[in-house]
Amino acid sequence: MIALGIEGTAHTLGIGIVTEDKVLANVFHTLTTEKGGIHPKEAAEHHARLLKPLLRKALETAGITMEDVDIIAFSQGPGLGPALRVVATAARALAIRYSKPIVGVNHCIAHVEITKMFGVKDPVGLYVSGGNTQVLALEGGRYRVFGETLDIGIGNAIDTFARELGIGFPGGPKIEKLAQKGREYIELPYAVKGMDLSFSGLLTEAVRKYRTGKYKVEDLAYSFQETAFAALVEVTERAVAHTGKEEVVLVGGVAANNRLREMLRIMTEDRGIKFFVPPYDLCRDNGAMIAYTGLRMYLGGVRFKIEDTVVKQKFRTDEVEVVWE
Amino acid sequence: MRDPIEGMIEIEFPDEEIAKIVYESVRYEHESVPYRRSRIEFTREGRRIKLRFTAQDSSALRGTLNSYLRWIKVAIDAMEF
Amino acid sequence: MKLIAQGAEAKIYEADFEEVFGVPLLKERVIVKHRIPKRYRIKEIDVKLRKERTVREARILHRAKEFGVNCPYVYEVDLRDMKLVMEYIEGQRLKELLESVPMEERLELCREVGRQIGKLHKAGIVHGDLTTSNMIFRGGKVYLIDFGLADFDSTLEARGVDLHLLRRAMESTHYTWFERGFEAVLEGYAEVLGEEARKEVEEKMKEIESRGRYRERSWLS
Repeated sequence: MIALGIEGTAHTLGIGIVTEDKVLANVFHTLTTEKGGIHPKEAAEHHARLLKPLLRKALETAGITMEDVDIIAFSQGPGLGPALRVVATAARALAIRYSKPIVGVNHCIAHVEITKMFGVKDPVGLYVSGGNTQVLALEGGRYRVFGETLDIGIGNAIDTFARELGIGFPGGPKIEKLAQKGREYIELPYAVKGMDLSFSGLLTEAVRKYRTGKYKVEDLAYSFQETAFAALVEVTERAVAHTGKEEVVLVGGVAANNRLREMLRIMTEDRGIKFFVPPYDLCRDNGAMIAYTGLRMYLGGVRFKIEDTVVKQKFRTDEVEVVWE
Repeated sequence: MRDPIEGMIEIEFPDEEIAKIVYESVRYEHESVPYRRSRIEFTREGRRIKLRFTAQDSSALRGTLNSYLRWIKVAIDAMEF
Repeated sequence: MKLIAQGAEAKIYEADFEEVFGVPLLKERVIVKHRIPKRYRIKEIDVKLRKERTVREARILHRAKEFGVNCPYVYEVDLRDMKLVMEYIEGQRLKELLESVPMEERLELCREVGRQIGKLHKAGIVHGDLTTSNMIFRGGKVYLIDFGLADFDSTLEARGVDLHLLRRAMESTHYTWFERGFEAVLEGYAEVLGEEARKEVEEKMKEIESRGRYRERSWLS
């Protein structure tokens, strides 16, 4: 079967076309702004403008027509309301026009589900992006959240810090490079709060220390990464210990960071379990993960009526009954 | 209080089938929009889609109309494959 | 030393007092909680966290004792190896005991649980992982154990979450009678903190439940 998926929860519009075991196309475009930050209206405008060209590109890349598609999947939430509404409207139009079944997909779950295309069976997922930071795993028929950020996403924290340092957007790769040259650890507030995470205190203190002018930026970047990532790995390890699962996957845009990968690799090695990171185009926000998850849901018997396709801005990870496993 | 701004936009499609698909695609967004400072009636008659609106000020109206026109555009775009 | 449990951050051993301290001062067996180093984080962070947490757990147990909570004695705080040596509370877990006694006794035990939690909250501490697996009946007394997630926190929110998690834990382990059982817990709680405090915390719990996406803590044990 062939599924077409549309992702558009935030600043990226992505269209993916997949089968049960292969990505046929995965194209995207991201709205970038000078100053960073979140822009719901602009994102909606961006998605509306690029839908047609991206759809065409995806179909061309896959070498198929709409007639060959068996199901339409779309990101139903969580995300920016105006952006979600554009995506849902497009998905409905496609489904009605070409008489295809439609499936609404939870964005966070899709990030983890796509790893199953690579043989991952039942992982603990660490999902790290600009706006989201979440540790999730399947338990009792639902993806349960074993820890998440109480304030800003880790990607957002890194970008904000990078902007403060005046090294531009997106800050991830630049902070990583600076951090590699850091030698001295500067104490920063740890980000684990009970079972959850919080990065705002860490960010504020790192910025404050930078402004004193007393510290090397390399050392600050290094300390920032080490402190934030240690917290991420700790919360992930707790979920592993609790669930007894034997696989960990790292997904989301921040999965590109090599130091974070290394730390998770060491943690999983020490516990004698597997670790997997999908190719970057399937880590970041993308349509293929939506298509793939929608396909798995559909094959598992999930059916949507058109009135079930209303967007869910605050779509909770544990709201979805995972009946397709 | 009566809203000072009133108006209507009528979009005519080549055939009823297209109008129906657009209408059905946008309808669920229309039904889940909370009333703020502008109100829109969204209806279809044959191959025509009508947006009848009232608003308290033009900036509120602009935002709301933009959303509807964006959805309609997206629905049309999605059909051309 | 015998390894009896391994969590994400610590290994728990059971040992003889003499085995640990070299002198047969006490006959009892002891628990050794060893917070193990993590290779994935740099040494500075690793040492700081393990030290902070070991000290905090010891302080919490000490303060709880001062407020009359039945909990393990701390025999040693070893900040070189990050080990906590404490009293081994040998008895029956409430989880099983509650299921094996008549209703009247159950409810009395639950009232005592409530009194213990009341004293703990009065001390400005929340346990963070209240389940009937973390409660031991020994010599006619109910003991609270495993303070690994405990914290100094006297906010109503923290207390509400603490009790909410106990309620959820009881719901799954003692589902046939948990409502009456939890009611008895609240009665005991009110005996220590007063009716007003009970009402406040009950309202808070309702709010926590209605938020829908409350944060699960019980999975951490």
